[in-house]
Amino acid sequence: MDINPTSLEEEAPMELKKQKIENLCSQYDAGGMNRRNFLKKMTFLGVSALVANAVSLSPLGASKAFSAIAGPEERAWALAKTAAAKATKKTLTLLIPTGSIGNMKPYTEKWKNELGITLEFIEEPDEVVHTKGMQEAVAKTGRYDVMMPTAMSYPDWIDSGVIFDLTDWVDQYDPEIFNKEWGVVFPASHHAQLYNGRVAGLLNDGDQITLLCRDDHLKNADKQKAFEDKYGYPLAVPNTWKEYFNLAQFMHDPANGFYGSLEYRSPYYVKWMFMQRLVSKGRLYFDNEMNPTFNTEEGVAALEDMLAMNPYLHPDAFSFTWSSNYNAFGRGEGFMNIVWPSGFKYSKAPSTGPATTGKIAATVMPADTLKDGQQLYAGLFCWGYGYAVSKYSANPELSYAYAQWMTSPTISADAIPYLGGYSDPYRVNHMKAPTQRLIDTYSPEYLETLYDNMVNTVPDFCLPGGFEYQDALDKEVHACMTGAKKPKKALDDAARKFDRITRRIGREKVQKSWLALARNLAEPIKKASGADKW
Amino acid sequence: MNNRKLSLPLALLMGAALIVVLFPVFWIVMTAIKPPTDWNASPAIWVPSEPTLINFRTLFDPEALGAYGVGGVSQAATKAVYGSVLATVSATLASVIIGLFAAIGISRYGNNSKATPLVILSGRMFPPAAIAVPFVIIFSNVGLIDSYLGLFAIYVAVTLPFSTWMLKSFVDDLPREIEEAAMIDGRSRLAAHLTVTIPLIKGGLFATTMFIFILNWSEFMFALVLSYSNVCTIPVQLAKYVTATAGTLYGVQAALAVFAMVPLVFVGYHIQSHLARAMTFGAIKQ
Amino acid sequence: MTAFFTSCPRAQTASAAQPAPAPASAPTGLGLKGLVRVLVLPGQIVSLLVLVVPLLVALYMSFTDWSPTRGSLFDATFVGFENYSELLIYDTRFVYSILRTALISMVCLSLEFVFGLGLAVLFLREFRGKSLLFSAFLTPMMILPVVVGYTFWMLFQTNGPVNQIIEFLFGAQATMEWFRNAPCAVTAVILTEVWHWTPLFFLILLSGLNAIPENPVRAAVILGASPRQVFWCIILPMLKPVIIVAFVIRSMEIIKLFDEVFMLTRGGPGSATETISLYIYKLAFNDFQLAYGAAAAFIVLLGSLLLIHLLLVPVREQIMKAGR
Repeated sequence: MDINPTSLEEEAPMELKKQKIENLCSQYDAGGMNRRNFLKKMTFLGVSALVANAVSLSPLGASKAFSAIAGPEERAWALAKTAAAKATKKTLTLLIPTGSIGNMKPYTEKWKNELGITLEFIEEPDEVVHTKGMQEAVAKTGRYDVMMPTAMSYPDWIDSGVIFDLTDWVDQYDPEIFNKEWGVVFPASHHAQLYNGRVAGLLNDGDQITLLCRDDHLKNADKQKAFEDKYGYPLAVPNTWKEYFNLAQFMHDPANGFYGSLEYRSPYYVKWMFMQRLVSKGRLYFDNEMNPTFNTEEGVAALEDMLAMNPYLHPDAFSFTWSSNYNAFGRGEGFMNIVWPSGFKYSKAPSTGPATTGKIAATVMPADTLKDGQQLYAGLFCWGYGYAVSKYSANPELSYAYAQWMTSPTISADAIPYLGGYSDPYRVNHMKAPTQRLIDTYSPEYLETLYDNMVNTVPDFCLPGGFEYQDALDKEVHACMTGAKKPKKALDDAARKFDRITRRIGREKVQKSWLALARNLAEPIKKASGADKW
Repeated sequence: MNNRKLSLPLALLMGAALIVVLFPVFWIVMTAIKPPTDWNASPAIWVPSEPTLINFRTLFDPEALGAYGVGGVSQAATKAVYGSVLATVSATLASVIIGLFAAIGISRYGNNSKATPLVILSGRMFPPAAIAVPFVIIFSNVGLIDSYLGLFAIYVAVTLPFSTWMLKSFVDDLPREIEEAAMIDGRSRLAAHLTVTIPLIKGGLFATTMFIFILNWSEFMFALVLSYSNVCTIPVQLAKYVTATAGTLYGVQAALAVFAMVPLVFVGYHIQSHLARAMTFGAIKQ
Repeated sequence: MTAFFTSCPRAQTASAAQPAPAPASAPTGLGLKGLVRVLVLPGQIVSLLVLVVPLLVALYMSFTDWSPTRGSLFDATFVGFENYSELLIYDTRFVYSILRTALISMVCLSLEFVFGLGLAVLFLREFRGKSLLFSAFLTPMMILPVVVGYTFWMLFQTNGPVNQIIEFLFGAQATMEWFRNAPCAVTAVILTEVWHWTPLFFLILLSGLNAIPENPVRAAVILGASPRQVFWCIILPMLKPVIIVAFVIRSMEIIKLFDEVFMLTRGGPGSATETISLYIYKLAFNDFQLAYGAAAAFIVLLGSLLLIHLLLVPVREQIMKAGR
């Protein structure tokens, strides 16, 4: 590995320094040092004057405030200060997907005013970000400092040498991504940030899909009665895929422009609807030898479930993109929707969800019944944007500092609620100890739901060649949904393509990273899929 | 063949064809002047009740649509327009000048075999996606990637066969004797070409320039793969708006499309009489 | 006057060596050779640097297994014809994209030819407003392919005007979801192409028709030939070189079909409209299988060279004659 992060202070290793700071703080706290002296010594240790000042002025006393300097945000800020001072290029350029800027814009002034760093955003459509990164691997322009890909990009980007392996920086400046109380929720902490056990990026968007229902229709007394009469159980948010289907069928009212569900059937998105159902049935994409495992009974059943749903979908389901889907749901055109958390956020806000504000009930993705009769709750962690640092950046440390600062438990909790971006909760504290703004934006129940769903998520194809796998699968699933292919045939064709991709990339290479992913799955899923024995 | 009127069935046929030909143009222009509420209305609105120029304004001022409560446009098209103009104009001029010299050289002194047209045609046949691959690699090693210079170089190279061949067909039409008369006057060959040949093919030169302009202005794929963030052209910007995940800014895209289309239609009409020759490498003359 | 590559037979080296009155050492000091060099060299340099060199690089690459995930191009392993055999034997998507491009091309070219010829024949007569109509009919050709793609993408939306017209004519059950099923999407692509490029056929064929000498036609009419006979037996054979030119030119372009489809369908649904250019683009710039993509490109290049060559063979003599 050829990364070369410079520490704040080359001669003092981080641990030692941490101790020195801690000593200083306790001395000051105990009254053994005057404020001026304290500030001087802190500055000497590389702690920025601002932070040191905050500590010394803190009404809670230094010992309490120490946790603040010791936090990921402050460490990142301290690093940013040093790096910004050294930087000759005073601009930090970020390659970001269209639609995410709203979570970053609010901090540009702070960076400009306090660090003298101009943040420049280059927006590209979501599906182009990976391509742009790969182009940069060839072109080496140094145009981007920070890049924001989905978790699926890391393997190819690391292998192409376009982004840094962040592990050494993470060890040194500790973004506390694995912390039990405010780290990134497991298993997303592992599959959305690591490649073969090394940190490739810092997650900043908790992309998982959950199920939304229209609460006002659930609470409608006439419908409650009619539903119970018809299906024999009370009207409520669905717990299983079967219930989900029944609800869609029951609520479907095309004459009034109200449809059972808004799940995706459009190219690029439709694969996730399949992958979600597949993992609900306890199947992963490969076995431990990299043989595809979706062209099986479970896979066919998943596709058939989807085909059965087609009549109860919004007519635009076949062309929905995330934004048109959010808009349609927000206009009140559907009873259910399978969306990313930002979909909840947008349909809850009166400006973007005029018909749905205050009327949404959400739940974890429905369960499916396994062969042994057990119910398996599984989620899908899909997309999952994160910050990666370009190898060709002129200011790699500053870039890393930005990434850590933006994803720190504190700043991220502040950034996520902004409506102009689709970044979603991903750290434990976002869901378990939310700020008021997070609660207002999402609602306490939904934050709980997000946590419950996330702990059972299975990742995208976060493997070498991941985009080829997902594209091959997407094409075949889509062909099946449009009636061009029978389910079994579509899946067999996809499996054949998978084998070819695996062979061309190198079976051992993919296998290594697949096993690394599979090791860090939630226990019930490991057990159901047999991955616990690999 | 002197009847000035078409028979009724023929006139109807012609009218129907005209509608088919012009309808898409009508649609794009109408979409460009629709307010956001009409963009993707269902059923589609053919003629907006309240035509607006807001879409055109949005091209240069992304915030303009805020008046309609529509956000999501974060990039102005200014850079794309600038890029298109810069790359197209410079590359067109260079291509025509280099092509003109080559055309005179080949036409007057060349040793062209029967294979020459085929060789030039082959250059046009190669799928751009394929040449683009080595371009990305070579350009990135010499620092031309994501630069107007790189786009310029590739546009010149790609249109050079066209400009050479088209201009050659004009030079061929010119009797040699005129130049030779000039040479008798004691001027050098080069001077004879510069002062006699070039003025005489003025019309052809103009048509060629305009045609190369059309080619460069429409070019899409090279710009797509060779531009990252410094460089943008109108077609790339247009494609950026229409993607699987970006929002649906129909009107703004249509405005940009109209913006891109107008100069070409204008130029096209002006070189109408030369279009057949241009499109066929000079194989067809009118 | 119709002439295909008129200049070919005429420009001989001999003419360059004709007794030129100006002395070789003209005031500029350039000899004849020097002059030719000055004229032709810039073009040659540009072509060499920007076309030949990249092609050679691509050719070299196509025999390696390189992709950016495997480090530098210079360290890439040489794999011989492995990419080529993989493409032709195992990569069904590649083979299908070739067949699909061929199918789309054939349908498009035939339709464009028929419509173009029909229009051209209409324009043989004189009528009021002819020149204005002529310009109007050329319009599609002058619009950027990307814009054409975007426009038709809007027209073919499920709630778009095309479906409205269909509904008006045949009722709601006849409307299509154009980009959701394969035959419809292919139809949409074909209609777009036909709309865009029929004017070219029209233009070429009209100038061909206008250039047909009147004498043989008149003679045939005097000898009692019906208009149909005149068309099939006299006009069409004389039009043959022009028709071939039109087909050759259009084939060259349609083999590369990319812009319009990229905007319309991105090759979807599934790969139903994935043309060969789109597939190469996907290989090279989505999957970054650069070496593999280069091999695919070379297969396509060789194929199209062969195709164009074959197209030209039957008429070569005739074309050369026409040129004199």
